Amino acid sequence: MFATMKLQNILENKKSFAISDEYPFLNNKYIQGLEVEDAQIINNISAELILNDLGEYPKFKNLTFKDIIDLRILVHFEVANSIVYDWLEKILRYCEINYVNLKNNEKKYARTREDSIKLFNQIIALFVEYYLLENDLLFLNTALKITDIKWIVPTSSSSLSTKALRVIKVNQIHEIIRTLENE
Amino acid sequence: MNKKSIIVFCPNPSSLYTVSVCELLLNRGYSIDHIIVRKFTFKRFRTEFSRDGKRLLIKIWKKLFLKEAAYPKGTDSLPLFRSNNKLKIRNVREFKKNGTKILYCNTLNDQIVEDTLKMYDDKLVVFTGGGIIRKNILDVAGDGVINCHMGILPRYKGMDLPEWCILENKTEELGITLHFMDTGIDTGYILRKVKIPLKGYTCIKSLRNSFEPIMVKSMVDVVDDYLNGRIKPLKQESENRRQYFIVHKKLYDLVDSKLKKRTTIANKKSKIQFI
Repeated sequence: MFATMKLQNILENKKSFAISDEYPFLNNKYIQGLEVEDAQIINNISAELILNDLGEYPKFKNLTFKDIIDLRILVHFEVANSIVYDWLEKILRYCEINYVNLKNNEKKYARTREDSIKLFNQIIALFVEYYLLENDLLFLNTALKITDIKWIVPTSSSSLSTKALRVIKVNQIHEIIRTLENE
Repeated sequence: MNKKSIIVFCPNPSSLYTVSVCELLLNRGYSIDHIIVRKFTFKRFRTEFSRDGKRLLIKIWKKLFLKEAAYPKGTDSLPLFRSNNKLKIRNVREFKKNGTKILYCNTLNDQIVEDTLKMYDDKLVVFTGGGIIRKNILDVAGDGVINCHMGILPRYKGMDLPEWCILENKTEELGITLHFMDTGIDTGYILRKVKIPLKGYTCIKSLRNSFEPIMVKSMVDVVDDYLNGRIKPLKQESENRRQYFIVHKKLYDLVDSKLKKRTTIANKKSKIQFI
């Protein structure tokens, strides 16, 4: 209910929200690869709609970075219900259990290098944001591990938004660690 | 005394944990029928390295080369426990003189292990390490395979559980669980839970070392109690269960700093009380 109200509020203030600090991740420099589509997302945004779209968790090989963005939107609006949590746990388990084989698996799944980079950087963002919502260190732990993987670091040919997302999330992780150290 | 055959699964011939459990069982009057040792092959190294990375190299250095010298002197640890209990055996080969048969295998799920287990009618398997046990072995393990898990089940499944308890500020949840293994990860019937107080440890390594003697003693007690009908396995609740994974280096450092802070605060408090 709260999330729906928030969304309503956003939809009524579309223009201001695109540059608002209150919803920083929706600013298109944070949503990598969606510069063209961000207006569409903003227009159609609805937690219920996203939840319906999510449906059952597919196999990891069928997952796209857009699914992760959907999850990020839901996490941002604090819609951490069982469907969202189920997806998050399954992505976390996949990343942890297949950690050493992630690169080979990506080749098997025939995703392009750039798509893999986008996907995994979105996953880092999702896990960090979920940590900030629920203080669940397991997600921060996996985000840290994924940031260590060299082949998912954006390349010179990666989009600016991908690079920006990476820098922002890595800095956010460092900030979180510093805060935890001082607690 | 119960006449069940006891078979021990062992990760390497000089595992201090294995030899301590076996020697204590012998001291209590049990005979160990078979010790099944997993060989250290290149394939095993490759599999474990892909899972543990650099940690495996440190583990090999400590467990296969340094052995008892890897433990700091004068702290709660397995070597101190062994010397207090006058445990002398250092290699599973030494159990041969007590009539124990030794079998070496590539993995604990090999056909040869299955065939060896089938040789015994009424048996109990004690797991002291050596990797994941598959269904083919669990199906022929008689009463089952007892494992000592380094966390309190059902909440704490998986790996690095002492670290996770400290990271989650749930130090009251530090402990071990003795349970029967099944095809799931740490989901089998529970035999006993032992909570371990945090005391004044300033680093996670010394805390982990302090777990080992408790694990050995608890394993022997549980085998003894089970064989004499003093405990009954209880089914795990599936709610509130969570699987944990290897802790990243940065969070691992955070665990140590949390432990140091706790000890400093505790020391300050005790000084204030003294004044």
